[in-house]
Amino acid sequence: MIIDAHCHYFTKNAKLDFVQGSSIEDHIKDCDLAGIDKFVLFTIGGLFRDFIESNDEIAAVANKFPSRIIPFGTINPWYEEESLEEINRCIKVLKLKGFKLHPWMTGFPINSDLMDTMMREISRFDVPVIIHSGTPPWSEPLQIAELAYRFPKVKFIMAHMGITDLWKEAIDAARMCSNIWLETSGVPSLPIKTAVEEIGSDRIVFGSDSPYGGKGGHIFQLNKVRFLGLKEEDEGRILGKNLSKILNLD
Amino acid sequence: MDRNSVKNYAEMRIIDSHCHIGITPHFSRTAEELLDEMDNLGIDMAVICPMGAHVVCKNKEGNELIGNTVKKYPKRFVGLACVNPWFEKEAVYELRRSINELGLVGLKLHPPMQGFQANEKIVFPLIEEAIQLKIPIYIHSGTPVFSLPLQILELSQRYPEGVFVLGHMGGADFFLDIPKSFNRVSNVYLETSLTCHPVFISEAISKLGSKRLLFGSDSPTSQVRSELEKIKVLNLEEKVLNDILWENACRLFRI
Repeated sequence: MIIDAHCHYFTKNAKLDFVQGSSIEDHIKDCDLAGIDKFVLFTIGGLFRDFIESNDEIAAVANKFPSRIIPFGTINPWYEEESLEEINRCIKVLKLKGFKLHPWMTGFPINSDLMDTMMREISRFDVPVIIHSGTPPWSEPLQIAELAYRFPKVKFIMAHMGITDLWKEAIDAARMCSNIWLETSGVPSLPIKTAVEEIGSDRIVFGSDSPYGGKGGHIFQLNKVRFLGLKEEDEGRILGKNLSKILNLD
Repeated sequence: MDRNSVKNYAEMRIIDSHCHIGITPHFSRTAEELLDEMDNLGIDMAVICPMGAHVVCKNKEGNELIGNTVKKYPKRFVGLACVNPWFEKEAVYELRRSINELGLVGLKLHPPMQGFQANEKIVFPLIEEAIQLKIPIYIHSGTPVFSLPLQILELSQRYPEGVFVLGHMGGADFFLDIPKSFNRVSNVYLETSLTCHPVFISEAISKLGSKRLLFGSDSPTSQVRSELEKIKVLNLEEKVLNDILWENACRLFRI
């Protein structure tokens, strides 16, 4: 089973210049073409506005395609009380399966007390948190590692595994913290291969960041992993098995 | 699929405008390994440059490695010289020697590895020398605070007679700086390796035209196959594709 750990839903207020959102039906068609069985879906618009409304939209669209979509919510730590409440509503009422946080896009310091307050609430539930990584000053791998130290029970997925400049640091972070998994979208080939060698394939999950990549983004990101020529069992773990375990899908 | 899209890449001529040869603490690459990767994909030629310590301090050694490799495989490679601007006059001499004596065809700069901001004074003598030598200047981009697209744009406006290549077209996070700004100048090419989404390439084509893009892989950091896949999934017209994969690099590197 292939599971994509990183997809965006272009909720109502999402507009990102030339990046076109796709309808959920088109997104599923692209997944069918690429052979992707399930995908984690979170908002794009909710990362910078209307996060509560966007969580409702994600839940609604996931209810339409429950066998394909694994819905994640988001919060904005600057709205402290609303977000604490929203964490509970996302899990208990909307039945979302995890959280996506994007410190620079939402505009909050990942290393602040506010963030710790959010993480304390999230850690009451057994759900993973996927965090954008690789962008200074608020999404650096070692900053995520510090969170992972402070919240050892939470499973952290490091989106983009440090991207182009901080992938070595991302591998270091995962080596230090056994509750960090590295996600493959956006990063070049060599970092993924190096991560397999240095921390093992059970700590890496495939993600596409689609439809942010535009036409063909799914296929490009998936083939990037397949072209590595890994052993079948390593590839299988990265493309689905690890995430399935993190999300208790089995 | 688009009516004009290319069905058979094997029939296209392809130059990979950004590859490395040498050794770093993390990985190494020989010319033969790169040729192997190119042959498997039908890549005709590659532009090679140094990596690791050859970029930072052992510039002569790196340029000689690139020069010797190009001499050994003149039909497959052209090479860029890499010098660190902090060596000042010595760097200028080494660039001149690399072009005139070693047969290299351009200058490669890597601001974060060499420890300078892309548009600061320390690099001016090298830019002026490159202009004298009539060679293109390839600059790594996308890494704050050293090599951001707008710093390189400012440099290209300061030196309108220079010809620049914006390596990685802003990398992962800084592509948004490009489409609205780089139409101000016509002396900057964009190289496609490591830019993380296919849509960035199609957007660059639509805003700046296909004459300013160069296909590159940054192999061995990325794979030539996967970087080519990023272009393939866009189903570009043959003419556009030919510009990006072949024509522009031929013109720029005088192949």
